Amino acid sequence: MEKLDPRAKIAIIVAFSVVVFLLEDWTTILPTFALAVLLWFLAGLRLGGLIAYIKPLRFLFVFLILAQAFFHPGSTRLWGSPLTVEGLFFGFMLCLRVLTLAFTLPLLLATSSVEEIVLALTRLGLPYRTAYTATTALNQLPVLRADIASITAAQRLRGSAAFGRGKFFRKLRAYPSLAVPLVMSSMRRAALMGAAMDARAFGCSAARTSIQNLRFTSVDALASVSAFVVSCTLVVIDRAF
Amino acid sequence: MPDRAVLEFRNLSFRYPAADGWALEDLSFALRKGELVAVIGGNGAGKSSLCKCANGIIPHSEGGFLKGRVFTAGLDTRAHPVSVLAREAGLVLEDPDAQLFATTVLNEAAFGPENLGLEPAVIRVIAAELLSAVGLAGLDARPPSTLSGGQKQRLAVAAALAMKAGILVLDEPTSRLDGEGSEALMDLLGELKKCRGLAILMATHDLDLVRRHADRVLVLEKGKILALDTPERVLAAESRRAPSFPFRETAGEFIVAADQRGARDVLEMENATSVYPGGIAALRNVGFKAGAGEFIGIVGRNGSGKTTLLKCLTGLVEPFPGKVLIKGRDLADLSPPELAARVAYVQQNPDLQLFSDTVRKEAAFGPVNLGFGREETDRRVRRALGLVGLSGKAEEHPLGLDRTDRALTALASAIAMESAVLLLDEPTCGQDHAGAIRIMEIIRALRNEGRTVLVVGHDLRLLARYADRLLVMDGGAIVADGAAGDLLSRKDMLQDAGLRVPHDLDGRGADGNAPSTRKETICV
Repeated sequence: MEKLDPRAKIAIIVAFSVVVFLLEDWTTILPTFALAVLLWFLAGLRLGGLIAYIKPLRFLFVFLILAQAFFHPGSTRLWGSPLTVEGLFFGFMLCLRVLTLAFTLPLLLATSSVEEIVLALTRLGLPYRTAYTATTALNQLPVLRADIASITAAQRLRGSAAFGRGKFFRKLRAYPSLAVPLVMSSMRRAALMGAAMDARAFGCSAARTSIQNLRFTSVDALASVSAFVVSCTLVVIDRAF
Repeated sequence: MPDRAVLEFRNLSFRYPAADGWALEDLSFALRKGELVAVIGGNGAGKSSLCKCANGIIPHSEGGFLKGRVFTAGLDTRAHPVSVLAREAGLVLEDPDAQLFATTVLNEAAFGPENLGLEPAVIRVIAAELLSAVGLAGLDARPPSTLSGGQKQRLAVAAALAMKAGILVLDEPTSRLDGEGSEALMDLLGELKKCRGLAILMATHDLDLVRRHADRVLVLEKGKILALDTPERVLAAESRRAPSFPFRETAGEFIVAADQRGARDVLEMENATSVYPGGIAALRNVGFKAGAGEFIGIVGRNGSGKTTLLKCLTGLVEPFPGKVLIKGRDLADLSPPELAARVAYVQQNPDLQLFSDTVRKEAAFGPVNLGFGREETDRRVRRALGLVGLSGKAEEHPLGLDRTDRALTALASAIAMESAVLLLDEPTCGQDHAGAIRIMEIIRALRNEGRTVLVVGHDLRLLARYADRLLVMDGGAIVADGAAGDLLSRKDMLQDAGLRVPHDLDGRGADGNAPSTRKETICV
């Protein structure tokens, strides 16, 4: 996965995203999900990361399943309750689709550097400025995380108990005191960063070069074509049954 | 043509949109090919604004009202965009974090030349050359965010130099560098000046560097040029101009015998060891004791473990397998409020520690959390604000204050905790001389009332003058621990630890050479 050209990865991700919304039957949704998990491991990402990644989504899943169980048309009542088995099943499949998407989307960022993605996007025809701005925003997330750690440490050392475990309401009340320094310092940094980028000739008219080695090889072509073929096959099977 | 002006300011005035006064006022001077002009002056004198005018950041990226003209390599900065001016003048901003945005060190160095459209093969050669010149060889693949403050600053310089411009403008490039690092950087700049005729404009607070490396010195005050002359003449004139310079001690006075202080049992660190995720030891078997009313300076090169040591003392980092005792109690057994009542910590960046909407509320945050009533909280806040001199600004928004006052607000909110131990990480970083002295005087006052104060810093001169005792760190260990006066005579040890011995303190004790020139070096 890491060796693939970002463009091939984008092709694979696009194929997954489209297919997941076209499929309707569990016989095709399940293999698609399995394929997504397989890709996650092929990309060298760990199981722990996978669990940590989907944990925040758990409430969404419960909500999806329950909502479908209540409102999806079906005749098999569950123990005489308003819930239907068909609805539960449909809700579960919906979750699998969301999960499939959730697993494939981060693959690009996890296995390509921002610079490679920017170059790939510009080769695909996106203007450099647009491609750079979009990806740099993502690149700044770790900086924000470090800032949050500093701010909460500062507050804890001044006796604030807000950011310990649990204590939901205390946390809620403390959020403004986290947000103010975070937003202010981010804005200050953004202005400075803009100036620093200008000072290094960002967006100057000459054709921009790049030290990244991006070559769309036969392997990349093969990967992209197979993604396309597999998705078409899945959709055809899904519609046939 | 060594005399050719490459950067020219002609009657330049600049005012920021929301400001009443001029940031720069009727400024004229020319920087010549192959010379280094140092710009000195207090915080708010206009140094950073001047730097930003040199390549069009002002007025293109940061707008305002501009009068007069700036010619960068003959180009009027008003008429050309920054990206074009960037070919002629490289700029290193003050804050290293904000100017590094690539995912790896190599990509960071390559960003500029890529924008200029140079051949990838050429870029790789330039980048490798410069990274090794600033001492970052072998770190190509590291994300810049994982570098130490000093390494980031050197990367920013390499990234600017990679543009291969004829002019280089640097805003306090050595503020986070250890002695060794700043010397190496100045040597590199000196070489580029000689070989390539690089013209350098450098804003700085470090008068030791100015004296030894600048060809001319520009003194700014309130946006106006106060003097432009050789370092010798400027520094001599400055010391005459400011006879009330705050260093008032005599040479013998700053050596305070540690044993005159209280018992050494307030703070005790035993066997502290800390390992980074990568397996590199940040601290190795560190142990020391500190008593009441002791002011301890912690010095050492970038990455020697100074900040980690402080974090160990706050419980943010575990000292495994060692321990930290505060008045005999193990830090690990204390609850967060118990800990906060005993140890106060001011981190390097004050802006991440200010979250209230007035200075008063900021200072009250800690005492309120500790459960003190209104009266006691008010008393503490009044005292803390009085001590740092911010009583008059109690109702202002902390983030609307200038840099010195923001640092002082963070300090006041730690002082209001009235804890036995106070830890300060680089409290004078980015402060001008007056600001730094003000902070040191406050720390001295706290020491005098019996607090144990530990201060991490780069300015050996300043710490040696104010601290009772110095801990010298190297490679995660304490390599020397003693009275400041004693350690200063151990020049080899200090140099091995990457510290630059200020020349006026240099040799004291070794040859008894009382520095008659001292007054000159300590101005502005």
